[in-house]
Amino acid sequence: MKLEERVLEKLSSFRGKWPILQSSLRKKERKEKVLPEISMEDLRNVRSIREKAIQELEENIERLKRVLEEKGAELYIARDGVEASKIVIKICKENNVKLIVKSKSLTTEEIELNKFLESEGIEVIETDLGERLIQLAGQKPSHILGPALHMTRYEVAEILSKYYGRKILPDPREIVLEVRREFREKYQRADMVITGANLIIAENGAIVLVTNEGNDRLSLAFAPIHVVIAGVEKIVPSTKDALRILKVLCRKATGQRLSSYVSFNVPSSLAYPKDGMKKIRKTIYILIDNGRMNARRDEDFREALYCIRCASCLEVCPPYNMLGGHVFGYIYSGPMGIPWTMITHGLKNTEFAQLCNICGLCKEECPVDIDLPYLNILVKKMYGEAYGYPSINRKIKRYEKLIDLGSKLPSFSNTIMNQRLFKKLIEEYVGIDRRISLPRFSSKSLGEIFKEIGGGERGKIALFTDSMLYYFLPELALKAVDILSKLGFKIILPKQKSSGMPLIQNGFINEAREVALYNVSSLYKLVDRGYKVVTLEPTSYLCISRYYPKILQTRESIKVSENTYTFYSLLKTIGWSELENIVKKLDNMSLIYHKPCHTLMENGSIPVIDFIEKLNANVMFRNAGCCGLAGTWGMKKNGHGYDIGIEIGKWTLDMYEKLRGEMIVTECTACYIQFSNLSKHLPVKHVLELIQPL
Amino acid sequence: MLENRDFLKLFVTRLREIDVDTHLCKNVDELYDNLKGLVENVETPIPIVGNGTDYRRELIKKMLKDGLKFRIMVPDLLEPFSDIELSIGFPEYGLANTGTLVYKASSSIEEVSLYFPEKHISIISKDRIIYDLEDLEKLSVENILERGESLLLITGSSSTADIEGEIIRGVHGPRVLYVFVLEEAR
Repeated sequence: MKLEERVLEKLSSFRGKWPILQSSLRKKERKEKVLPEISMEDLRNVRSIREKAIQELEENIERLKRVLEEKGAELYIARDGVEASKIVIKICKENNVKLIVKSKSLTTEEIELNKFLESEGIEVIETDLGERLIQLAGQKPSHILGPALHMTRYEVAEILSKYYGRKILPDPREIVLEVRREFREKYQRADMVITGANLIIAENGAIVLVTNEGNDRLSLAFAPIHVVIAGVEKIVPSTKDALRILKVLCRKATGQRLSSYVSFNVPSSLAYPKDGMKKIRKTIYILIDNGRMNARRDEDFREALYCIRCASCLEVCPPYNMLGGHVFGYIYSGPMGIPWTMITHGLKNTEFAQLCNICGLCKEECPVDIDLPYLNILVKKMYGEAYGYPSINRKIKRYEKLIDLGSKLPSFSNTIMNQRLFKKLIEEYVGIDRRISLPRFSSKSLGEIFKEIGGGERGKIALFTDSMLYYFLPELALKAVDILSKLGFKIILPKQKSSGMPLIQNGFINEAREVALYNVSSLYKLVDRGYKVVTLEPTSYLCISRYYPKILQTRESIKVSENTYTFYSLLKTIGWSELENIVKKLDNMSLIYHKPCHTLMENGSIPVIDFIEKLNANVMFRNAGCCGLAGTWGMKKNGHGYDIGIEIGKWTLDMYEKLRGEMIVTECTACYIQFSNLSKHLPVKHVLELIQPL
Repeated sequence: MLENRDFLKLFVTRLREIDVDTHLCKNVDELYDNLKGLVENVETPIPIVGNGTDYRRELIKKMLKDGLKFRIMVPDLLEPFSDIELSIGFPEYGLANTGTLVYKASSSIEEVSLYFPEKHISIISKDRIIYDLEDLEKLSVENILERGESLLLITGSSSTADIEGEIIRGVHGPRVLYVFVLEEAR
């Protein structure tokens, strides 16, 4: 089945329930209390520990090897899953292993170890409840921490009834009791335990296991042989490093200050005697490369190895929350799953990367600050170059040309563009879903009505808009220009193309580079003459400040980036007091602020909120979410984007409509258009529309 | 050791936040009075694990006197395991900011005692409560690992949210966790 068909099937089965999204929201609520306890310094510490650990990985492996030898444990480095599985099977045969209990199994899911073991006639029991459920159902995990989150209690009861051969009620308490009873016997009978590791400490050889169920400890307690299977990147130098990571990991992963069970296990522990004899547990570590060492050598993908598996990126990812990991994932799922699938399972399995809308929320949420959106753009590029860009992406590239063309004859374009035949044509040739209501062109574009303005005693500004404001809502851009000129700035509208986000978003990096080069060349000349670049769209700011330097890697792009401000952050640098003499105050309106995905936090705050509050409005709700459009992503027909985006948008809007706000406001034109189209009861305004000159 | 700060209040708050049945006791007599109701009707022997403090000794004496069934779990005296309903443990430390009980274990016998029963009781005196994970760093816990012992950090009872995100207790480890904090500095 094609990816877009699987999307539609999953949306249809989840519709109205959204189990993954509901779980993410519950976690978000739990996290609200504990996340403020993590300081910026804590986050910097974790990033620096992970960077150093990967930098010094070879030395850490050597150190670990020496320590384990001293403690009588064995260490293998397996090139890939097959090699690791062969080592495990050899150990099983040598020790006549018939029953294995497992816990912390994500890495063994990666190498599909169970298949190998079962083909040798060995019984394998996953002891984590979620893992056990997907094992019995013959499925892959849908979430890296909650592998069975997609299942309802009814599905769970059905799976267990079939397995136990008797009726199990769809009551989570009953189910848990059944599983507890069964596992007590399995633990005591197990010949071997296989665990993963959240961390491995090089200085003493301890593995750190983090669970809430306690299955790891009970698995370990009885089995006389312990095999640790973990990725090589899990090694950290010291216990101190592990403690620092734990502080952040548990809070970010589940909203707990510490998970119920955190254990540091060294190889020399005694196993519980089954026959009355004391036995030192035999411990074997198998560290898996499986593409990690190649990633470590890659300047960009090395960053993915810093991941501490907190799954925060999954919980904020709008398309993942709608679809879950069976569609938005391979074995690793969600945003982190894209680079990790490329690293461990190869590009050919990364088609699901097309579902990432490059909203960037994952980067904001990542405690290690991995630039996941950029890595995902690179995966899309590499996939396109290796297997061909999906045809829908090649079509949507024509969007900018369509806008250019349409703007030449705005009134004609406005007449035809929402006609059925025209919509059918653009769906066919541009890939835009025919159900989209296209915005109306302004009779004149910004370029046609803009006049250089302002005395410039305060400074000079080069205004950078994007195609939405430029062609559809130029009068809003002029409101910003009016304020800036009254504050004493000289404003010009330099030569510019649109920011190129549709190209970047779909992995057309080479073409995006041309756009970036054009814009940077135009802006650099001005920056060099003392101009500041001011953007009106969050996406433009994101492209100029973050993506242009990455894709161009030139001194000019960095300098332009350093001199670019959003309209609101520039006002913040001036101070708000002067605004009072320029714009009318609002009458204590209660506004629901929608933070666009591409609006970046600045030192923990959002200047546009300050701006709205200075206008005397009450920002009653702040949501960092997604409208579902994400530029052109949500325009792509059917399961390529539109059907997912519309569900995201409806869900977000539904949440807003339950609040008692007077209207939704946002500074992103795409979000503004999406909500305006979807909202039936609640008015939607662009932040610039709130501005009324005195 | 760390400077003598009082983290008792925070420790108790955190434990209660994570649904741990927490009791403050002024002295060992009061502790035993509270504890007795939980242990006297237990059918299976009660394993006792953890550090050898004087309050542990006093408590065991009282249990002996009342003829309660218990079994002191010592790593060197391993014996085949049967099912147990409840265990009692004496952790090395308590972490106030997370409501965590810190145990060390040199063999699985201690681990099984802590993790296997339906109910577990931890008993700790207030002077063993330190602030947070960072303080474990200062107490050089890496030495415990160097000696070949495991370090177990228990924060609440066993739980799962694997079915529709609903939190259910007791999937593998104890369903109910009691903590008795001895307010007397020992």
